[in-house]
Amino acid sequence: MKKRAPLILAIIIALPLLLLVWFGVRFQLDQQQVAAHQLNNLVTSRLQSIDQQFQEHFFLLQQRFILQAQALQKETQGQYNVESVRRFIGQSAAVKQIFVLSKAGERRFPPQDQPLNQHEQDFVELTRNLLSAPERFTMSAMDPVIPKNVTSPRYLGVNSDELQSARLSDSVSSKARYSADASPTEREEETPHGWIAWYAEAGLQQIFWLEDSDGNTVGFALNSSRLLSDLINLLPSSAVAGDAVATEQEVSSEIRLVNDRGELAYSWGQGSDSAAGVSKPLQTLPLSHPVTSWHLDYYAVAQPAVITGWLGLFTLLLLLAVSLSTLAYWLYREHSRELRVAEQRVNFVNQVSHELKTPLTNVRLYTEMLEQELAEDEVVAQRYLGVIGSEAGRLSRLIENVLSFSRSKREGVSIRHQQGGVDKCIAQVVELFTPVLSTRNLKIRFTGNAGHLCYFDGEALEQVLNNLLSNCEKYAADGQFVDIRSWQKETSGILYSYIRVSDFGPGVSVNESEKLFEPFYRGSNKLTDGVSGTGIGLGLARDLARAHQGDLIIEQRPTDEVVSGASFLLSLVTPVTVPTMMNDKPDD
Amino acid sequence: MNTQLDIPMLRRFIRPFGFALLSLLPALAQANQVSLNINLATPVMEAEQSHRAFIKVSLEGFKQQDKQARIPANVAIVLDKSGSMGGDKIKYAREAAIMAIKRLDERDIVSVVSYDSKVQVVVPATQVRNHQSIYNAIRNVHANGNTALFAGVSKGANELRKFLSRNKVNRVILMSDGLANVGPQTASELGELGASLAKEGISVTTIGLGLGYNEDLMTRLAGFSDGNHAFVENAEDLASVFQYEFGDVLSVVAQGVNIEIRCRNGVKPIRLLGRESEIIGNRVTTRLNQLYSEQEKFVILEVEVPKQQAETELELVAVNVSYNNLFTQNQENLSGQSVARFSLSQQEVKAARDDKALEAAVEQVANEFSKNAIEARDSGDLEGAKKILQDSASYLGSQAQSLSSPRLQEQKEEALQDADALDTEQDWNKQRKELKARQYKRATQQKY
Repeated sequence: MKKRAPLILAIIIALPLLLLVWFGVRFQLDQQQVAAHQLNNLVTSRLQSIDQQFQEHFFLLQQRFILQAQALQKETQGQYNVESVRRFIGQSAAVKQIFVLSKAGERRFPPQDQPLNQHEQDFVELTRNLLSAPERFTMSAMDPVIPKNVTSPRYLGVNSDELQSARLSDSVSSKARYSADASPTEREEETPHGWIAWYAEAGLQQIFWLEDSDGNTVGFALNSSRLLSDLINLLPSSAVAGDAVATEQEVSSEIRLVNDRGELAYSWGQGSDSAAGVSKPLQTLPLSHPVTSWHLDYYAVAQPAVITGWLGLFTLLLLLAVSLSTLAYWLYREHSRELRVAEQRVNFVNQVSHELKTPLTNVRLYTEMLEQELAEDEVVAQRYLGVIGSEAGRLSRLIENVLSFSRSKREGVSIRHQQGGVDKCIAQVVELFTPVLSTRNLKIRFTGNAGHLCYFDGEALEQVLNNLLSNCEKYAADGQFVDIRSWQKETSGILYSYIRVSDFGPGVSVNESEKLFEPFYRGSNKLTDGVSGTGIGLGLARDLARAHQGDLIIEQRPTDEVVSGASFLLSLVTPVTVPTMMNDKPDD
Repeated sequence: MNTQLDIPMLRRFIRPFGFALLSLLPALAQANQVSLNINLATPVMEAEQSHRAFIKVSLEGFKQQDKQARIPANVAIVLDKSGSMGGDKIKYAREAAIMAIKRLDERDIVSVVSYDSKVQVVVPATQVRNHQSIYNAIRNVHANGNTALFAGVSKGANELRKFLSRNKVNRVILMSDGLANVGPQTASELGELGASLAKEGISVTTIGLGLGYNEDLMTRLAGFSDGNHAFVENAEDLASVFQYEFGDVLSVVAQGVNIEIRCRNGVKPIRLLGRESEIIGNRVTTRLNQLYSEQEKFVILEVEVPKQQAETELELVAVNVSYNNLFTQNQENLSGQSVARFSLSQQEVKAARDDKALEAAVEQVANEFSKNAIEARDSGDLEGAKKILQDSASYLGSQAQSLSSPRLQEQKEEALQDADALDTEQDWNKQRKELKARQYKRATQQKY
């Protein structure tokens, strides 16, 4: 009993806590996964949008080059004379060099029959292989390398306002400028063109080529430094240190643009140098053609959000655990204090009872002696002595009850079997109680049918009956009669004795019937009832009955019955032969 | 694209108008025009002999009539705030930038970009109205991290592009004290970027601070875009360099200067001293991004003149210069030619000698020697480098004597000192930066 309480309390604490921990951890893990997934998606879309921006840049360049090539062709009447092309190169910031191949694959620019400047010489040297293989500039051959046909419509779907409008204005102005031409836009669609990424000078050289209306191939070699510079300018710069308006993404991440040689070309965001240098990028996205060998790396700084999530969970659990434990501890202390108080009370009562027992025995002894010595004619004294005797008897029963109760709590109820007649025993008790009850105008009607000699504990039976009858005295005084019936029945070789004690008092409600047997419960606590009692009688009686392998129950009377009152049925195992085993049977 | 199409048309309209104006107001017109001078160092050459001749083509920006009527500037200051800039350096750099911006007013546009491993746009391109807020933003720049020089210049140029105009002085002023170690870092890559920016009319001035920067990269970047270059050893001197630089920026009178020199009558161009140029056949072209008020910029063309008979005259070169006059906002052209006479008389040859032009030519030739010396020293040929400088010194010495030029004498002393300095291993880094900066200044006739 003492150990069970803390155990239950511990379970009460631990179970919800464990459940909460489990759910919390699962929730947190889920949350993390979701967050990681979301972050991944976000990162992917962010990187892809950058790639998209680059594609748009190339698309714009392409549009511009197509128009410029048309202008150049128109200006030179398809001749691409050296002066004009050189002037064009001198003015175009994005272009490093231009080449023109005739339909037959012959180089028209840089010119073969005129002296070249240094840049042109270098360029010719670098692209010798490329220029000597004009089949590279046919659409079919380019198909696998150039996803431009795919990207162009994709581009149209994007609604990046600025670039879109830039492109629109570009095309509008171009239309205005070239409207004299039959249908420039249509021709533009027809124009075979493409991008080539050419390795030159240990670096990637982007070349845009197109075929003009005369079948010449015009190629624009980009100034790769300028290209990188332009791409960098498409990318955001980092937040100024100390600037409060840094977006959240900027704070927590760094994106790096890495070129074909694996060198960092540009980075932005707020990643710390050392950390990002060591750790692996969260995500890497290779860029689309014509900068395929470049890629974007996304580095995330350690995510503080996740940690706070765990922290939150753990503080919550900790708080809960602490509060539950405090509550449990408080409950346990209350409980054990009550137990201690009850024990102290029992001990006290016990000791007092012990102290009372000896003088009371003397009082009874001398009362009896005095009764015998007293002359017959001293009626008044006789009556007085009778009252003293019965009250002393009652007191000793009470004390016996208390002592039995405390004994039963301490070491269990023990039964001592002795041969005797049940009816005889009952008659003794009835005789003892008759004067007491008669003072309360109660009459006992005893019908005895249990005459067999058998083994039972007479003292225990007496005590049970004492308790039942004193209850009748206390609670059913206005019922006039107390019926006691006894009978015996043999079932499968064992003799059972039954005793029913019925009164005609107020009776016992169904709710109360079980509580009545609990220690210290009393049918009525009201002092006005003038009822005294300790509240241990019935419980003790039932314990005795159970120790006797029987039981004591309250019989429920049918509701339609006219008479009220309580009826107790006591059943006992009363073997005919000596029950050796039963003598030392321990009770619960 | 636009200018290419529009300018001929514009020209057609404006030229008659301009001519009318010219004839009416010759004084004013002259005052607002760039002056072109073509001087042959040896206008009379010995006959019956082939010659190497130097032709000095010089341009001088006209005087700004009115200080108030200057050309608006569009300047991006790109500050290195890498870890090595820590301490006083960044403080001086900030103050230098602030001091320089004080000279601007609301006509001008300024942007400030700082870079370490990453790039921050400290002040996006903005009109210089509220000085104080710009200063506050600059004062927030603190040193940390690596050196993403390429991206810094890119972003700086991008800020310029927001207000890019041919009628403004578009300039990136790059200050760096370290090696570019994030992004492209070779001199050629940066040079290529510079060349591309120059095509847009943006020039990049590079200021190297301390002994850690890459002087090749910095001079190349400046050279391709015709900006200035300076080597500043002590951060305290940054302020004055910035002041000079802004002085230059605010005194630009012409931009987009194209010089085309055609060699005639079998004259062969050998090299153009001083600047990047393009020589195709007998045509030499070079480009200056801008001309400053009252500053002379020149190039020296070395040509080979074939044998001629005595007492003949020969047109050696025809020079065409086109530029964008920022005051009249017109594309203007200048042309001229250089004619040599051939004589058998030594005296005549000597008497006709153009000492000024020759002095400039000698200066540039010696400058080339000096460049060669650095190359030799870089490849480990210490003795060779030394010899080049010593030869250069003796060449300078003899020319100084014959021209009685104290300037050349000075340069000779310099060359001798440089030859000595080649030996000292520890100081070479600093020496090289100084040399590079000096060569650059000499080649581009930079004022400071």
